[in-house]
Amino acid sequence: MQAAVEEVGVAGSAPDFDDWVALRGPALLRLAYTLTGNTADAEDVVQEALSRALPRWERISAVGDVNAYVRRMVVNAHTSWWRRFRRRESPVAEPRDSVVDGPGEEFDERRRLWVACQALPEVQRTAIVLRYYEQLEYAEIAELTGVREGSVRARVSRGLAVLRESMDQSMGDTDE
Amino acid sequence: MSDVEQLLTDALTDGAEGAPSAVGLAGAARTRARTRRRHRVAGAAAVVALCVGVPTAVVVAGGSDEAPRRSEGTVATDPGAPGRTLPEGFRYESWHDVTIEVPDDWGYGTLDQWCVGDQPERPVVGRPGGASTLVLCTPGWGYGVNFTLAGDGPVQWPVAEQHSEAWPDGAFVGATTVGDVVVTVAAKDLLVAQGVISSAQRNEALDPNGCPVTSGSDPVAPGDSMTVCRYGEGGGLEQSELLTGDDVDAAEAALRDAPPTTATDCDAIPAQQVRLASVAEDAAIDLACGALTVHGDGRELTADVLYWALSPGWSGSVPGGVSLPSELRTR
Repeated sequence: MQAAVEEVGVAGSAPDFDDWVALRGPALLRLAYTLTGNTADAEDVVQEALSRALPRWERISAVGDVNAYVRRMVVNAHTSWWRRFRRRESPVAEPRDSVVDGPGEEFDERRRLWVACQALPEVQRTAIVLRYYEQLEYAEIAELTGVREGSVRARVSRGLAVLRESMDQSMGDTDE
Repeated sequence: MSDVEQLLTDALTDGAEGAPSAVGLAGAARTRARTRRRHRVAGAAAVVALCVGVPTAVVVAGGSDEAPRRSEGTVATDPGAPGRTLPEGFRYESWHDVTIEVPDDWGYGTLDQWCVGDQPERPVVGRPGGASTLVLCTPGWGYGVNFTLAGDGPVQWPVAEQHSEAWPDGAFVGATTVGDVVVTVAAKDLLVAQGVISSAQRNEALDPNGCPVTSGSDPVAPGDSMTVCRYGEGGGLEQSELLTGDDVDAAEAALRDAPPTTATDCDAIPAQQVRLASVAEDAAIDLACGALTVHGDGRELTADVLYWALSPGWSGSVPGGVSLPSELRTR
């Protein structure tokens, strides 16, 4: 999924902000949506990251990998958003947007996984999304999120365990 | 990849299709960036009007004072303009909810310790709680500007030339009270003294460097700079500054290079916090605990990070086990 959007922002190039956003914006919004599970929050996170990138676009576009840099900003903006949200709101989970409809048992499984993923603690969900949606290596996630690789592996492992348990419960409920 | 992992990838890929449209995204980001800039400089119009209302504070004049002068060319000349332009050669200094503009070559210290050190004539910016000695200087006060709490009520001294044992002979001394803060200035030059006094402004939420006036809110780093906000034991803003250019890169690198560490439970009261915020980084330091978090994750508080976090003029201590840098920044 990344291959289609890697042709801009490579080392040495200086992409125009609007052109870059036109090409990379949809992928950033999809990433933000998988992190937040909410369209309004996804827009908020991406707009926040891009608005902070804009004043220093020339410097950012001079770095080795614009895509990675801005992706890091989106993840950081999500983290900051989450921290603000936690301070401001009650701990009751926010209603999250549902995934697009589709038929079939396999689709139901995917939808249950999506919902279960959105219910994960923020640090686990971020690690899971970066690993299984962005397809990043553990070392890349560690670099991006600024935590030890071992911590990333632990977060992914714990998140997967919760998701597996959730799936098992769902299957049990279905069997009953 | 296991079946569950593959199913998870598929689930996230499917779910991501519910993301909002990117139409208008660049424009929305531009609007937000403009709004942030307007928010950052909110209140500037009132300050500009104040400067215009005191012409002597903004007009270039001759004289022998070494401090840089405010020039008409560097002060915003359109009171309706949404931005505040810091005069060239000046910097912002904040304490609690008050900000003033001072010549950039003024140092940091304590006005009543002016005779200690190798530059007794150099004006300094003084704050309560600064390092002090038992030396009694004569006269009692040196050049510079001092922040204090208005404990005995507001003080308003028109700037006037002083000839007494309290101040350097011939110094131009004045004071003003903004909210609960008294700003007292002593300068060799009348216009510099008047300019510093007239620049005093009260900040509702953020100071001009993007620091919240009390801890607990997030700093707003302007443009490609890094905002450094230092808070005292009561949560009031002690000092703010803006890092720019290569300093931003160096400070961000110091934060990124700080080794991860497990969070330590520390509820030191009173807390002494420092926030560092830029486009890419968001860090919080509790000096009383010797703790650093970057984007919420625990990091080791290194000397390199402290080099950038401890604003010029800082005095204090850090817990054992935390290494101070070999030298503190002087500006």
